[in-house]
This record gives sequence, C-alpha cells and structure tokens, in this order.
Amino acid sequence: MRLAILIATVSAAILAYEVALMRALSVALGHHFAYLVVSTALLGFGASGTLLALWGERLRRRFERSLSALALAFALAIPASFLLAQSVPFDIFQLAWDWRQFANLSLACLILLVPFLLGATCIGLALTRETQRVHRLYFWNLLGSGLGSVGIVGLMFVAFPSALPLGAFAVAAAGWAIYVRRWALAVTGSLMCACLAVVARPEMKVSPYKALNSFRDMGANVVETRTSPLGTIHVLDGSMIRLVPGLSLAWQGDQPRQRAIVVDADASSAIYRLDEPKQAEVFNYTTSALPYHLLDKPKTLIIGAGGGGDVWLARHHGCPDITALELDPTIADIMTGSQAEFAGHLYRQPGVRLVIAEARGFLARTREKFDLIQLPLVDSFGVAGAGVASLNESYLYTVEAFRSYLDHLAPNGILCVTRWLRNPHTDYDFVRILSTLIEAMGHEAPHPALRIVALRGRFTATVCASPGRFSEEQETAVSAFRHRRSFDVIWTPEFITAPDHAILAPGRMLPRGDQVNGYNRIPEPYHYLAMPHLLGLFGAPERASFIRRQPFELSPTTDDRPYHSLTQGWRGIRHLRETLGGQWVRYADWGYIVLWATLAQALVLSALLIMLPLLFRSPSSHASRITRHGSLPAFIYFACLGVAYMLIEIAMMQKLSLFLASPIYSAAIVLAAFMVFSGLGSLAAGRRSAGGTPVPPGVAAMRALLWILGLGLALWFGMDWLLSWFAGQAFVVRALAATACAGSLAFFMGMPFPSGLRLLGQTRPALTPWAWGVNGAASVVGAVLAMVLAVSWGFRLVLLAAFALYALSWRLVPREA
Amino acid sequence: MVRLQLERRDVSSAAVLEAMRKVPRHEFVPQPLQHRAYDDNPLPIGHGQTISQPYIVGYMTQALALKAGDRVLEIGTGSGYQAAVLAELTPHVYTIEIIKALGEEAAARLKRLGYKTVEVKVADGYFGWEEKGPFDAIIVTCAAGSVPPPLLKQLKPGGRMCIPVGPPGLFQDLVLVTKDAEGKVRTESLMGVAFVPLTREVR
Repeated sequence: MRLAILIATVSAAILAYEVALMRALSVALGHHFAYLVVSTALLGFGASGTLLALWGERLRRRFERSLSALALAFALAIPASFLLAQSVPFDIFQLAWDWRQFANLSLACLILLVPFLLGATCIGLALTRETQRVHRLYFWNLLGSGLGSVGIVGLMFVAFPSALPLGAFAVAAAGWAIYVRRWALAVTGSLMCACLAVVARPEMKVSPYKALNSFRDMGANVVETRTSPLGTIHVLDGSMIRLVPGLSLAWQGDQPRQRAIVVDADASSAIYRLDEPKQAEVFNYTTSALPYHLLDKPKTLIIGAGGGGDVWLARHHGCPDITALELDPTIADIMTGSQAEFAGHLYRQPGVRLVIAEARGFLARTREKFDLIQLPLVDSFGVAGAGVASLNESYLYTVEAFRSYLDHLAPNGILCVTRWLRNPHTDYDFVRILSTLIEAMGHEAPHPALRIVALRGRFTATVCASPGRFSEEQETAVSAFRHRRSFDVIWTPEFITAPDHAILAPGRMLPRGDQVNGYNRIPEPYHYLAMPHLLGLFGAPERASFIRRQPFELSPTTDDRPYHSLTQGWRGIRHLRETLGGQWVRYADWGYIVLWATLAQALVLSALLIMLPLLFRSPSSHASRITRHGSLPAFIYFACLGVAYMLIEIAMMQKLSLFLASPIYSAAIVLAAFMVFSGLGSLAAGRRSAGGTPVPPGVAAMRALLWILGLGLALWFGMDWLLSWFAGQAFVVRALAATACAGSLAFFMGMPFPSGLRLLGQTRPALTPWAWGVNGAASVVGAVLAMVLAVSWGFRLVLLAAFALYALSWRLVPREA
Repeated sequence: MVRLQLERRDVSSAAVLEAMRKVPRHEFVPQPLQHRAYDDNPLPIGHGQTISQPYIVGYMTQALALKAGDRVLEIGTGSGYQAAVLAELTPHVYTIEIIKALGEEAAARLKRLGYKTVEVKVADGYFGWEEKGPFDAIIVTCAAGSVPPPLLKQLKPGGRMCIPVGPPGLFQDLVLVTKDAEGKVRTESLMGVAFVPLTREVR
C-alpha cells in the first residue's frame, strides 16, 4: 500500500508541477515559449526509461532505498529547479541575432527537466520491477495523475502561478514521508506547504517586454491583484495609461482617466473613469462605433465586456437594453466590486445586465433576439501584435459561431466584429474573419455583398453584417462616419450598386483608390482586393480557387479547426522569404514556427534518448539484451500507444471545451476522466476471468484495442450528434455527458499499456524499462503532434490518426498471445 | 556598414548615406560592445534600452525627407546616435530622453563629438517639446502604443513623422504620418520593426 501511495503522490505531483509550470511560464514568458520549455521538460519521462535501461538493475537490487532516495530528490527538485531556471538570463528580444540566448533557453529547459526525470524514474522503477502487479500500480499512477490535475486547478483559485509549484512539492514530499513511515512529517509538512502556497506571493521574473512591466516602467502602480485558473489579473493605475483600442487619429481630445486590466502580464482592457455616458465620446472615434450610426438605440449584446469600453459606447448611444457577457468571473467581480466606483458603477447602470458566461454556451441556451451583437476586441494588442496568438484556438470566430450570432439577430439587426490590424503587410487575420463570416451568411437573397459593410483604421478593422440589405440612409451614414474619423473602406454595398439599385458586374465595380487606401495607406489594400472573390461575385468555383491560390490561409474557420489567426502556414512563410528577403523574420508567425520547432526538438531528443541504451552496450548489459531480442515491434507498440493516447486526450479536451462552455472546467473534467477511467481500465485488464484464471495480458491488450477502435469510431461519427442532445442542459448534466464520452474511451485506453508491459515482463523482461521510456517520450511527441495536426487539418483528423496508431499496435500484439 | 547594410537595401538618399558614413557609431556604443558597433543589429546600451540597427536608423532618417534648415524633433535620444545622424542633415535638432542617466550621457557625448547644435531634454516624450515646435519632422525611436496627439499637434502642415507603433519589445509597424496643408492627417505603413518601449515617466 505504501508503494501504491508513493506512486499516486509522485504521479499527482508530476502532473501538478507540469500544469503549474505551464501557468507560471505563460505569465513570465508567453504561452508559446512555455509550450516549448514544458515539452522539453516532459522529455524527462523518455530520459527516465534510458536511465532505467542503463542502470535499472543496480537500482532494483536496492529497491526500497533507491525508491525512497528518488522520491525525496524529486520532491526537492521541484522548488529548486523552478527557482534556478528563473536565474538563467534568457532575453527573448535578442533571440533573433544572439546565439547565446539559445544556449540560455536550452539551459533553462535542462534545469526544468530534472524533476520530471526523477519523478518518472521513480514510477518507472516500480512499474518495471513489479511487472506482475503492473495493472494495479498503473491504476495508482493514473489515479494520482487525475487527482493531481484536478487538485492543481483547484489550487489556482487561491494561489498565484509563482506559488503553484509549492503545491506540487507538498504532495511529492508527503508521498516520500509516507513511504518512509514518517506520518507526522507527511501531514504537518504538506499542510504547511499548502498554506504557504496560498499565502505566499513570490515574485517571479516576468519578461520586460510584457505589458505588466511596460506599465510599471512607465510608473504605473498595481492597485489590485487577483488570480484564478483563467489567469492572473493585475489592475494598474497611472496617468500614462491610455488604452482606447483603434482610436482614430482624428480624435483630438483627451482620453478619460484609465486603469489597465492586465491578464497574465499582457494588457487585456482598461477600466474608464467616467461619470456619465456623454463623456464617452472618445469611443465614438473607434471603428467599433460604426453600428451605432446605422441603428437607432439597438438592443445590444456585447461579447467580452471586460473593462466596459464597449458598454460605455452603447450607453453613449442611448441603448436601453444592454447585455454584457463576461467569461471571467474574476473580472466581473472586480468591475462590480473593488473597481465599481472607479468604473462609475457601469454594470449597475439602468438597462445594463452583466452575465458571466461563455458566448457560445449563452446563445445555445437563449432564444432572445438582439438588434446588435458586438464582438469587440477580446485579445490584447500586445498578444495579437506579437504574431504569436495564432495557436490560440477560439470558438468565437468560426462559421458555426457566426451562424449562431446571426440566428440571434432581429430582422435587420447587425452583427459587428472588430479585430486588431497587426502588421498591415502580412496580417490576414481579418481577411480570414471576412471569409468565415461570408461563409456563415450563406447565399440566400439578398446577396451577402449587399449585407456587409467593413472599415479599417490604422490599428483595427470592423465588419458589420446584417440578415437584411443595408438601406441608402445607412450607406450614407457609413460614408459620413468614416470621413469624420479618417477610416478607409474595405467593403460597402455601394461598390456594386448601380444608381437604379441593380447589382453591377464585378468588372464594373470601380471604387476610387483613396476610398479603400486613403487615410491609412498600406502597400496594397488587400482586404478590399480579396472581397469580390470571397463574396463569390465571380462564382463559387472561383471563390474556392481564389482561397486555394493564396499564399496565406483564408479558408473559413470551423469548430474543428478554430485557429482564425493562423494564416501563415509554411507556404505563407516561404512566400514571405521570397518577397521580403531577410526581412521575413519580422513578419513571420513565430507561434507556428515555435510549434514545429517544438515537434522537431521532441522528435530528435526522443530519438536520442531511445537510442542511448543501444549505444552504451556491453556484453553483459541490459542494452545488449535489448538489441539481441529485437526491440522494433516493442518500440512501435509502446510508441504508438504513447502518441495515440495523447492525440485522443487533447482532441477530446478541445471538443468538449466548447460543449462545456468553460475551458478550465472542461480541461479539469476531461483530464480527470481520462486518468481515473484509464486507471480503472488498467485494474479491469488485470482481473481474473470468470473461471478464476488470469486473462493473458496479450488477450487483454487485443480486446482493449478492438474496443478502442470500435468505440472510438462510433464516437467519431456520432459524438457531435450525441452532444447536441445535451447542448441546452444545465452544466452538471453536460459535465456528466462529457465524462461519459471521455471516460468510456479512456477506460479501454488504460488497458493496452499495462498489459503490454506485463507481457513484456513475461517474455523479454530486459525490455520493460526501455518500453517505459519509449512510451514516455512518445507521449511528449504525441502532445505536440496533436497541436501540429489540429492546426493543419483539424481535430477530427487528430482522432483518426490516433485510431490508425491503435490499429497498428493491435497488429503488433504477438499472435501467440 | 553603409555599403553592405544600407545601399544594398533600400536606403538610397545620398545625403543620408553621407551622414551615416560620417557619424562614428562605435562612439555611441558601450565600450565592451564597440567591436560589434557596425554589426547589422541593435545593441543594448543599458537601462533596458538599445541603439537601433544601422539600417533602421538610415531608413527612418530617409523617410523624414529632411531639407537643410528643417526643425526636427526626436523622441528617445538613447545614446544620441540618431540625433547625431540628424545633425549631419540639419542644425535644428531637438531630442527628448525619458531616462535621466541616458539623456545626460548622450548630451555630453554629442557635445564631445562636436554636435553642439543638438538640444537634449530629459522629459516625457509623449508630450513633445511645444516651445521648440512646430516641427517639420518628428522621429520617434521607441515603440508607442498609438500616435500621441500632442506630437500630431506639434507637426507642421506638410510635416512628416516616423513612428514605430505596436506592443513594445517584439514587433511594431513603422508608420509614416503626414499632415497635409489643411492639417488632415494620413498614415502609411512602411515596414515591421522591433523597438524598446516609449516610457512615459522620467526615471
């Protein structure tokens, strides 16, 4: 039992530390680099297999002592590596031309790898020694991981990211103390650490290029700090904070006094010190103000209300009924509590209703219609401008999402979407939004070309779409609005409307050059130039061919592939190199490049770790026996299992996050369901048959793989249909449905690994530590590969790839089994 | 440097190239990095600030289309290199630095190297230098979240402003702002750049 507890606590601590590291590094460095660093660190699992293959026998001879030493070293390494990695002088800004920064980054990765290596060696040592009890131990391993993932999400409600590793340390240290029978130390030590994690707010080194530090450099003061799994929030006050997104250069007045809301060290929005709506004229000089000049006091839904700039804009235009949706309860709490007075009690003003909900989930549960649905800027310029947000999936900008918004519009209502214009030379994000919107509008009369108006300023672009045709008065209002504010036109129905209201042929459309590229000149007005094609004015086949021909990705974004910002694939990057020469580096999508670099790095390091035992062979070594027995089928079997498990887990997490309408709860529920049900599967696979004889591990593995394939394909075809039955239900019902979907598959996914390990223990025991390492390294590759496949081809393909790998592993189970 | 990094790219103004040839860049770089002064990249100059890549200095200077006798305002003196290049083209150069230590060092350095007409002020560049304005050209050599309205006001009709707009530290859009004879402002995107932040409180 002590061994089981140790395995569970080490597993829980590893998972908790992984999630903690991800959160802390996202704040300190940015999520894309966090991804790179954490995936490197996780290669500690692969390295543990190498270590066990090389020196496992020595460790197994003194099993209890080795295990106890490893567990203690693992616990101590958690805080030590976290602190030490922060002292590495890594400067992301100089990475482009200073090779030493690569060395520093590698050093940080290496330091962070140590706890994972120690923890995984601890678990691997136990699993590979006790191969006949492996099902039971694997159950504890997965149960611990499940509890660790849920526990760390719970801790995020009360502890800051920099203190989260303390939680992982507490669990790991308690596990060690229990194993060496120091019960009192286990209880008091872990309680003290847990308390410290909640109370302490250790300073963490945050990149000087993140908004939090920029504001501090300007002299702003932090007036409030909060944390939750959705992010760490700083509210900063300072006379120099001026955040009115997309403000026209024609605005000559002052900006209202502001406080910045900084989420995970990136600027998110601002709280405005206004007393009455008429003071909000400044917002009337942004592109987002356009729909208020086309509608009279519309009933408005604002998605992502944040600090309230768009709510002030709606109030400024006298809207009597405003629904403000906010995803993050902490921001809602700040706006209605501590900052309510500064914010002029905005969310308690007459006609304003604050709803804490995710937009898609909210709309799925209401039949209410709105005159205006506003989708303002929901990400910061810092994140968008860095060109690294492309890997953030968003279900707000997909064809399905736009259809849902349009379905909730009153006749002649308006859907208004505003996005940042990042780099006007290569930023096709807004063009892709237009492509997606047009796809969602369908081809019903009147033609979408008559139902769309789009403008751009220097920093933002806004599109308004309506179920009905825009009137002449509305078109006149657009013209007056944009001239007064120096905005350029991307599209207006005027372009294709003859004086007799007939639709002109595309060849006769002749907007003046200064209409589309006058006030805010860019090398080519590519937003406008794409519109006739995207609108299908040359026919549907030409639209498809136009989208295919572009070097940048302009195909409509769907729920299956919700990466609207990812417009630069390798083709786009190659195009940049050809057209911009050495300057391409400044324009490239580094999120995408870092993702591929992470995959390449995971593959190379995994291959090295797997090959290492073969290189250090001596006649008597285990490594020698590995080669002698022929390791390829075992390698493929355990590698396939590792990759496929991660592919399915990540794909399910993404699919269910939209269904559950809460990214954090869905991550916790799916992770926990996967671990716990896989653990139960492992236990079930090790049970005896009805006759009392043990089920041979090979048979158990083959049966499980067949179940995975059958059930998986059934879910692949029917899950959307199944989930649509529960879409409008309460959260608890949806959570149960999600758990059933994920858990049923995970139950069988927990069987092939321990069965395979047990079979190997019976037939080729020398291979077991190595197989453990192969599986660990493959899991890391699988996690990155899931993202690569998802951004390139969508999550349905991720699932198909996983099933193919499971089919391959089924083929590799020895037939004699 | 001029031949390989500027002429081979798109800096072709003879006056700007001549100015870049004359100014000894290594004098504006900290001693330990002087051997890298003519490299094709920015270099740290302390206080979290950098001296811009030579090409960007040349490109931005060219974008201002300065004529002899123009009044030019620079926001973000740094080590004073950009101000020295400007001073080779016009005697009326005004430059503002927010970090006191950097501003004072730059003023002394410029004087020592003979750029005596350059006026240096330690202040918040967001508000410009109203007493010395209006200016024919304004050059902002640090990242700004938006175009500061006070700078727009201090730009003469027919004037040009070159400013990197975007989040600090990573990549910004280098924007040319022009004001026509009627005072109407237009902007033109030139290229992507990377600058350190425009800090707005004196340190």
